[in-house]
Amino acid sequence: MREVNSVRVKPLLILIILLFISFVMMGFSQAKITIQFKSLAFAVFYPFQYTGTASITFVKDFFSSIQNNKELKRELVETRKLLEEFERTQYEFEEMKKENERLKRLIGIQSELEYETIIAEIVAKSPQNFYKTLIVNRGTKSGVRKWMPVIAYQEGVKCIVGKVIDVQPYSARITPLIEQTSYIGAMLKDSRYSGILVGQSPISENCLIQYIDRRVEMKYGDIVVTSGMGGVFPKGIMIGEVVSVSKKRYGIFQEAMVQPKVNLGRLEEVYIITRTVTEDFTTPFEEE
Amino acid sequence: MKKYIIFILLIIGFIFLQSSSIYDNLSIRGVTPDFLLIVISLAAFVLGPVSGQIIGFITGFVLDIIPPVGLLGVSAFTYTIVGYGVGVLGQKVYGNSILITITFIFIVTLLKAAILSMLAAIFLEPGYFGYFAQGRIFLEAVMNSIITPILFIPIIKIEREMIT
Repeated sequence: MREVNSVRVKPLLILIILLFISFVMMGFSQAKITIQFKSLAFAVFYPFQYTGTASITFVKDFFSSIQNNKELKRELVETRKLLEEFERTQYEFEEMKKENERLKRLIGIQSELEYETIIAEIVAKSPQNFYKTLIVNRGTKSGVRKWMPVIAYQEGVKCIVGKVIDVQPYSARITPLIEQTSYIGAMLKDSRYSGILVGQSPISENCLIQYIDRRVEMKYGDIVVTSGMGGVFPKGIMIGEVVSVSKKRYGIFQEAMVQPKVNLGRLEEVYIITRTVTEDFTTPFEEE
Repeated sequence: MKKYIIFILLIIGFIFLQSSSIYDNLSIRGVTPDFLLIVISLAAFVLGPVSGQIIGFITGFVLDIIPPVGLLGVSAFTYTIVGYGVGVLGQKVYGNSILITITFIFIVTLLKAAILSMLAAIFLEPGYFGYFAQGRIFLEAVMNSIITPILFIPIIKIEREMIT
């Protein structure tokens, strides 16, 4: 019995001694010892309080995270919808911005022209026979009248498109220069010799300049512009370039094929020159 | 005697490790495992409460003086209690069970933090609970529990070989 007690007491005694020594060392290593029993009790109980609270919080957070998951899914769906709407809005904005810049450019060009013009957008093209007619979105209400000349800008160059042949209140029909019924007073830019430009559609997309003096040396690349004769088109507007010359053995005139500067396939907007045309200035070859 | 030598060698090795800069590389979110706590606990399991507390006291004292800490004796105090407590309880429930060992190590780690908090409250700042406040002690307890089998299995193997 004594031995058993001794076996039990010995470790406890050693513990007390060692703890005492440690405590004394701690006491001497500090200038003062402050024993606040409230703090001491709190220090003892706080870990268990913390553990308990942390465990409860963990379980609570776990279950609330399941509910949060549903909320998050719903929010995700709503956010995706908003994002799609935003992307649509942004796309529309970009389109409007481009349109705005395009229109600014057009207005900028219009302000540089020496005559008054109406900007018109091509809304339809005749699908047959190489763009026989063009339909634009301006009519009598905008001041468009029959026989008014129509020009466009291609690669920064002002060039002839055709003329107005029919007008409605909100639209107009334009016959392009390549149309076989189109006759335009033209001249060679360098030599100043004049002739008549006739459309060749549907045979060709090029035009034929006729009645050029045979003595004139015409060659590939010569620039052809409007002569102003006929009273429809102002003088000096680019028509196109000579691509081939035809000189017959007889006769006093020669002919040449002229490739129009305007690319009717890429044309989106045109300028209708608002000059009044009287009967005195219409050519005898006009269709209507 | 051989058992004592094994544990002493382990303790010396881990004292050097915990004093070196390599030790910081083992940290996860700023928390490092306490190898010495594990070795002292295993020593207390195998050797009993008297040896456990003596080993704990000496280990703690060495830690307090290398390098010198502000509160001399704090580690000695803590590891002495750990060595005694594990020695006494371990003799009743140990039975070479690794699961029991891991559970003990987890609880002992929390106990260590509680003792340190109490001592800090007395000798340093009243109301000092930084160790618990951030929950870092739980991470340390988990890390110690994970490392325990790595040390436990070789020690038990060596002990069995010595018995046979």
